Amino acid sequence: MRISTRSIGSWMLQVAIVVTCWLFGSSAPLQAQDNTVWTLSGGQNAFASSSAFIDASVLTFNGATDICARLHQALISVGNSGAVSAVIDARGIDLVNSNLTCPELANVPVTPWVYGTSTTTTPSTILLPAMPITIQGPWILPNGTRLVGAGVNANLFFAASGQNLTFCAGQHEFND
Amino acid sequence: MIEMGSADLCSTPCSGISVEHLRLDGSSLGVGGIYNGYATSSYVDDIAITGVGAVSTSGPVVSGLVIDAGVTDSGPYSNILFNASLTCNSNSDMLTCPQTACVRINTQTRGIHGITCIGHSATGQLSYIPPAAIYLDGSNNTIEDVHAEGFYDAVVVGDEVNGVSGNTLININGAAGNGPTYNSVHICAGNTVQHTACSNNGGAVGDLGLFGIRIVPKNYVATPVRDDLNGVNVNSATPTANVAMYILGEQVGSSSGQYSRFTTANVGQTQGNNTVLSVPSWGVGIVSPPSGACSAGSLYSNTTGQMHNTTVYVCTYGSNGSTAWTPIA
Repeated sequence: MRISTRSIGSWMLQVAIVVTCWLFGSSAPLQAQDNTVWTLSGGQNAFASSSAFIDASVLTFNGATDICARLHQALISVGNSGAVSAVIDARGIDLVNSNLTCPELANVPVTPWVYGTSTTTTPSTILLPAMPITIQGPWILPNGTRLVGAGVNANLFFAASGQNLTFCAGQHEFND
Repeated sequence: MIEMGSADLCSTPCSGISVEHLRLDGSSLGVGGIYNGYATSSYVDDIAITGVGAVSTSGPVVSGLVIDAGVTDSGPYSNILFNASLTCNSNSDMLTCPQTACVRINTQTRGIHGITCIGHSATGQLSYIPPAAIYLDGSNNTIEDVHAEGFYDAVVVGDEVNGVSGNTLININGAAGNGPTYNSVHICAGNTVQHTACSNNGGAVGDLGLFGIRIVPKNYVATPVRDDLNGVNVNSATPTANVAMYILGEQVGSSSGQYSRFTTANVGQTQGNNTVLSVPSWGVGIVSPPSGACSAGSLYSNTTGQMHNTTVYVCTYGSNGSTAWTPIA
């Protein structure tokens, strides 16, 4: 029997689409929970949650949704879980779902580790988004902190206190 | 913008901190880039630092990266691009303020491996040229694969701290791109030198190995290696000059300019005029040494000399005051 390569290619494409839809289409809506990882269950491959890998884009801290608040809540969650350290994935944070400017509270710039009166020093690996992030004070990294960007597109821009940066096609200017 | 640890966070030195794959933009506000005064066993990799520098012609030095004296054994610091801010002279060309540095090293590290330092200066405006890209005031460091432009010195050694030793510099390239660079490596002697970072606090540099030092000036004389301790500019030239190896050992005797040292370069010059001074080297060939002047104190070996007085030569001053090769019988 002769099977054309075109038929095989078409069949594989359909299977790929079905698998993709099953993986992503059937997944639960975005919500605050641990990331899913492969594991073994009864000798079979299965999904399980992992507290070692946290999606920061769905977290808030005291209702704040800026990137520093999301990262701060993720760090607190790691500490509360008793884990020594964790990978915090902030790559899903963007201008649509978050404010990428870390604000000031009581004239003090917040950071992922110090947010108002709340502080944490939990060790972590933070994966930053490929987006410009505006900070208004230095980020002081605690013990065991790995700050990983996505290359030159993952920027930390420093802005003077009380100033915000407006980004436009890779350029920026000050707005008082 | 980023501090690697702090005294408040760690009772003993912090550790395990890293920053990588990121761009830091200081937005020309006078802020520094990365400061490590507390974190050992911590590193920086693949970082671009832009818009960082001083915003006035005086005040403290603002740096892209500072590795301070409070911590040892941090690093490596690798694959770094520093592009200084443009704020100092808005009347004409936008220039980098002099109090701007690419890197300041005040302690032992695991090395700087791969860094480009861009300042913005102009040949005719020396009052606006940052003195140095890399300030080396710590001992036992390796700095390699450096490109700098727009700074008076690419690397200055012992400008502020006395007795800096045990450092190795490899593949240091000073160029004239976004401004001139006059010395690729500048060894301070504990004296203040105009336009440079050398001060009365530094000097007594020793046990320093320089390998693959290059300068590429544009319409001005520059030098790959300026050694103030011995009063020589090694291979000063325009346009391009190289020094394969320059070794500064330790002081011999108590007079200034008495150091054990060796170089593969042939020509040294005093600073400020063109008088040739000796930078002894060891030449090797299969013929007799060339006629004419040579660097006093140098050796030459003719490996096919065949006779006892045609094999080894030393460059000495003759009765006419000129140097020439003299066979050692």
